[in-house]
Amino acid sequence: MRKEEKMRIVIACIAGALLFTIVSARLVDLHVSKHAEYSRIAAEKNTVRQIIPAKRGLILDRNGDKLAVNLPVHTVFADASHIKDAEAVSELIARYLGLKQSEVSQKIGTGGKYLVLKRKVPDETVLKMQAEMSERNLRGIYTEIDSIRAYPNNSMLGHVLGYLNHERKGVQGIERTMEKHLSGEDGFRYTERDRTGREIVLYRGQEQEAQHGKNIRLTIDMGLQAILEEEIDATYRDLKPHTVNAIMVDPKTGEILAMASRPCFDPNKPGSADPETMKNRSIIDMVEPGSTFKIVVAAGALNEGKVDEKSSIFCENGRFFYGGRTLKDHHGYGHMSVHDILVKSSNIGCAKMAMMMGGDKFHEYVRRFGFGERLGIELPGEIPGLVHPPARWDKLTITRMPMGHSVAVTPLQITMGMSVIANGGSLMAPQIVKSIESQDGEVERQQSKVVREVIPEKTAHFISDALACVTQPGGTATFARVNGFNVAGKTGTAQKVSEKGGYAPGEYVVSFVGYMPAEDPRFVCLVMVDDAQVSSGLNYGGLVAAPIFSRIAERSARHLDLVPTQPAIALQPDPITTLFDAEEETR
Amino acid sequence: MHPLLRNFLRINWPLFGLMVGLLAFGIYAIHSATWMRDSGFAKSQLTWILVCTPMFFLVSLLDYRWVRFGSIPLYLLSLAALAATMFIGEKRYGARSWLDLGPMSFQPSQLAIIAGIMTLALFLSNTRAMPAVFRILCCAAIVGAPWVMILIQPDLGSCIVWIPVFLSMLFIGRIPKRWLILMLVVGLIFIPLVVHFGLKPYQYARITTFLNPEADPLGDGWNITQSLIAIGSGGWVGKGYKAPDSQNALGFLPHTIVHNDFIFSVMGEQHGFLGGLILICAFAILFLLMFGIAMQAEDDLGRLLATGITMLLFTHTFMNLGMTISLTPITGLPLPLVSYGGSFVMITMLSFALLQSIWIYRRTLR
Repeated sequence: MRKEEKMRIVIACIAGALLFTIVSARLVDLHVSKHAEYSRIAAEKNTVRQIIPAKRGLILDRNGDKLAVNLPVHTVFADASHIKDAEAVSELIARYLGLKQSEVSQKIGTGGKYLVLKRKVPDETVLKMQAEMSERNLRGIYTEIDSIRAYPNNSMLGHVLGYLNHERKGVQGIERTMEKHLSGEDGFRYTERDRTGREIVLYRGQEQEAQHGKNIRLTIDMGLQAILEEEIDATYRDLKPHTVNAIMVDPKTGEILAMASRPCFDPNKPGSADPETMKNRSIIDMVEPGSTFKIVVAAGALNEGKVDEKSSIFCENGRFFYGGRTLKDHHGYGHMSVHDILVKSSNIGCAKMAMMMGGDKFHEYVRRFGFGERLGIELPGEIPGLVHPPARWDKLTITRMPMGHSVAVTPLQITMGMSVIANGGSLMAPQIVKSIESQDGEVERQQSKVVREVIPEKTAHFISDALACVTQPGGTATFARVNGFNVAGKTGTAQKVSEKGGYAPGEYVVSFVGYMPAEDPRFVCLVMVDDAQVSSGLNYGGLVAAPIFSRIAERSARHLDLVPTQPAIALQPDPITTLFDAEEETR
Repeated sequence: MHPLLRNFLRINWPLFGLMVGLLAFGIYAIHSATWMRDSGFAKSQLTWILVCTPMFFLVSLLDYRWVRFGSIPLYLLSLAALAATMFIGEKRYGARSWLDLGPMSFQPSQLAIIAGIMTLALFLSNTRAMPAVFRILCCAAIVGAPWVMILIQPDLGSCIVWIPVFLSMLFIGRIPKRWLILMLVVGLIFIPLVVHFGLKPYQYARITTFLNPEADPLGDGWNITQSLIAIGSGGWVGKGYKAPDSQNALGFLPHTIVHNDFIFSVMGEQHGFLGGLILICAFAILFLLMFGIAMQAEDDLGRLLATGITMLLFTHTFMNLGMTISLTPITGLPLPLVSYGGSFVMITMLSFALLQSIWIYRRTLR
């Protein structure tokens, strides 16, 4: 090879090396000298981080009825830097949004780029406003899609559903306990805006789609809920009690089918509601259960072998002197079997059974039935109630607790306790969320849970038979009967604990908790009326609460399409109105 | 020893190793550029490389002197393909430069430049005795035909590549320096005229952007501004692999071509100055080895071929690196061995195979 050719290649090589050196020098310039400057620019990102709001999940009843939904609304805001004709724009805005023109023009006068004019503006208003804006060629008013939570049934089931605060976080009810499933996760998008503030779609940056919230399907059946609410509404209106409370549960699964209390509130307008009305009394009220509690001592004594089906207990003819006080029965009874003690609701018989068991054993059964513990329902604020251990009892407690005094429980606990008898001996965990359903159709079903086996089936059946007789003629709750079905249940009447200590005279919490059909219960239902405005002579569970149960149960049987198994009975008059009228007349 | 095995062992192993290394780095870079959006590109690149590997070894082990009879048919074929592109080509990013061949599409301009280099090398190696003017004019004719067709497409980037290749081959082909200088001067005189009358508006915008990127940072200057921000924010050692807040992950680099034209911006941001420097050094060693092959070539044909190919790849590299750091206008030329692009991988590997062939069949001392 000639020398000259080699030289030429070397020259070309050197030229290349020089060019690469320039590249390297430029890299030094960019990476090292200008690093700080470019890092700052990169950090600024020149962009807007736009939130893509996640849709909140719906709340549905067990059949898919929508109980909580989202309605689209707009937030209207002005970008003053885009407004040329402030006068015309503020006039138009004031007209459509119902604001004062002077206020609007004052806001625009501040020159801000994001001036919120009004929130929660409905769709159609925005559409009309935008149409006129574009017609008159005005600019500078923009809207952002927002949504509000709406509860189509208004106050119905309000305590269970709860509501949202201004930051759209659930603060009550299911909205709160299921917040993490319902809320989903907002997405975001980085975008550039050009000089006129419009998004440059071409330069859209990273985008993260919103994870929409999951739908919550409740165990509530809105048909039953409507029945329940109508009936307790009528009670609340007619008898003017302090509160009314009703719960309906499927005893076999622990599913809450309906749950309501009065007074109530409208979750669409939580701001204007009295805080007292927002309490879900089924789980946060402590009450003395009264005689409904007698199933505990009967079941315990039978199960421990202290008594059997044929044992007879002497009921002291209605006056039992024990511990310095006299315990009375409503009527005086002699020897009675356990069955009859329950049917006649003898306080003395129950006290004696508890004494046979001893305080420790009896206390154990109270706890086994779920009293004194939180049952773990998916609603906020559930309280455990108050069951003192035997060490803290006084001498009278052993005679008072069996009849449901000296103990404080929630209405839900009574209902679940009765379900133990109804389902053959198992304490079920109350369940209100049936399933959690994601937007793409994935369903996470919640399983029903047995908390514990409380009593064997045989014992449960024995108690159940007795409870079925409670509603038969001669029992304490004949008004709870339902045409065509066997109803089992137990009444309860307890004097209200006074705020000053002791019992308040003339104020009673009356209740009836029962199930139907007695042979194969489809539901357990509790009705509890606190301080009904009727005379003391009438204020008994059997007279006030039992007829409400009867009406609820009869309508529920139709709703559930139950087949009647018993012959029809004569139509019963409403005891309160008829007896009340009779009393008025005699006066 | 079997002659085939002997030839195989004579492969320029440093060059081969460097090529494989850069190809692997390319896959890594493509993955880094696109993992947050679409992971298919790195895999597709790997597929292309694997498909081209047999071709690479075949052409390497074949004596490059097949170019003597192969170059002219190839040249004519590329002219035909270019002509076809003018009518049935596929329009991408404003230029009708792609030809759709059923399962794959390729750019005839890439084939044309390889064929052009072969034909130029053949012509220059056989016409040493001719007067220089005549040789220049003939070469201009050989280059001119495809060049004009590519200019019409219009693919300005591919046109620019021809110029250094053409000049350097004339230079190595022993055209006197005075003629070369004269051509450069004439060319420079024409530049203002071409800029004012010959360029399309977007091409004009690219040049003004190159001269002053801040003029319109949200419009024409977007890509270059974002590339500078990405590289500049990388700093000494960069932000690291899959850094969450990188400009690329946030979508500021033009994501339709980030794995292609702006691959160096991604690497510059991810691995900073050190990474960039190592890459440039790797390319520098690569080109030194290639020039070395040109020096050691058996004959004029080999030397010219090697020079042309080296200049082709060098120009691509320089223009690509330069545009991401605002040294050269944005031309859309890919970075050899690293950038994503099926047919370009094929052309690059074909080029390396020719170089290996020139090396294998060089003169040796026995």
